[in-house]
Amino acid sequence: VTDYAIEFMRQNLAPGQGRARPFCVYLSHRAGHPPFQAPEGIAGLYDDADVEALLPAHVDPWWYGKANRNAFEGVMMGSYYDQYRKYCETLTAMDRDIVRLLEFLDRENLAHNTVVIYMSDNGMQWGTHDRHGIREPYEESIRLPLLIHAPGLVPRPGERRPQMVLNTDIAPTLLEMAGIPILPEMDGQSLVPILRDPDSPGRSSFRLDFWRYFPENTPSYTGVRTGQYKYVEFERGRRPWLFDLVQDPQEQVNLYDTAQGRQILPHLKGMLLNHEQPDSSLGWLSQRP
Amino acid sequence: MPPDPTPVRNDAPSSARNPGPPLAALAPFLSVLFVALASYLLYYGSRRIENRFLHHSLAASSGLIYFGCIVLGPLYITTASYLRGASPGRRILLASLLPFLWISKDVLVLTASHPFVECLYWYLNPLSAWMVCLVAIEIGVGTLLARYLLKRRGQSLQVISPAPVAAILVGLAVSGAILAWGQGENLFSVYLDGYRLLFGSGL
Repeated sequence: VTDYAIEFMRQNLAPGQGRARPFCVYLSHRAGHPPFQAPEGIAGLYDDADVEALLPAHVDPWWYGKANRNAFEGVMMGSYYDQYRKYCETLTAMDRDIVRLLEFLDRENLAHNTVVIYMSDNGMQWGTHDRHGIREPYEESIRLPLLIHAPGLVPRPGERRPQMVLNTDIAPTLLEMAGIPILPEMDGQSLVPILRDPDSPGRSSFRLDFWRYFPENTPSYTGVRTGQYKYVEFERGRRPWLFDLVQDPQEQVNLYDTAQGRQILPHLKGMLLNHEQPDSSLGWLSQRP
Repeated sequence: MPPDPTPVRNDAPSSARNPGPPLAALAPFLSVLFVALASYLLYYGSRRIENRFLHHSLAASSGLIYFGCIVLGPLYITTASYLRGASPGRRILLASLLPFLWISKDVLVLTASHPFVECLYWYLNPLSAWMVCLVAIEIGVGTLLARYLLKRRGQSLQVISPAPVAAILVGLAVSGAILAWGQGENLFSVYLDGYRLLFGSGL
């Protein structure tokens, strides 16, 4: 798909068509997803790599798909370590393709006026929390990488932004960058102010929703994540989650039904029920992680 | 050599030849079930072991045994229960029981996220189809193997007969067809279409 993307950009720059036309490329690599097929030259690259230290200690190196309480726990598809090595190979392949893409922009002298946004799909648990899949609302799955190269917009390139943003923000961001009005019914918010100013206010919470997906064994859930807390209610009787992401970034201690949790819960429940933004007077709720 | 005057009956209840309590035929199944349960518990129990080498060694060996019980158990159960005089119906039942329990475990796991009726649909998943084929093949092979062993012990019977051979051939043909048709992915897609037809989108 990278070849197609580069060819598409090349066509828009081709001489004989008048001046080069602006273009928008949406490039969606399937890398990092089963069956983890890396291209020739990269496949097998990590066959001898020691991945033990990269995975949780309790992960079984032999039986892929046996993460506890996974619907597919009985399906044994080979070594978990080998699957992880193959996963890393597909990431390496994707990295190399992205380098090719960026080198094309440099070569064609486009990098100075081309916005590049890199983001990912939901992340896999890879054994964290005894899970293998992508559907549990742990940070490993819901917190995604987002890198934006926006020449002229970011005062000091390379800086990190602490604000919480969502993938629904990408469309309004691109519209604003292109000078096109943002429709009021759009869900997201343009990230341009945050790109311009690191101190620009971001959202202080967002809502999490998941609808059960056969045959995955994650029940439907709805929740709210603030800068400090994550509260999730599940169907089918699963105990709700309440994590303090500042004190417990690994989400190991469920505060639900604890003294600390009972103090926080009413407001979080209220936010969830009313879809409301947290009260700005409650600074501890909107504290950044 | 004069012809053997003993009439040949392929599926004659071997209890007639080897009388014993009917429960004796259950022993092979119960032994495989016991080993499977023990290895399953050992597999998950090994997570509690801090020493990584020991944990991995135990997990690998118990996982292998557990896998072996599910995948090869029907072959052993068919053969051993035939030798202990189990009827064809009982042999099929006993050989199928462990894979059925294995899939039932996943059905139970699925109740954590889906209504019970939807969970029952998991029994029809393509993995079950593979498993049914495998069990059919193993019942066929186990039957032939048991007869071969009985013949070597001096019993007069015909080793090859249509029923076990048909079970093997049908099992192989259906497995091959599933494999040829998108390595099972197409069948899984049809399976999910069936889910949506019966239960909607799942929302």
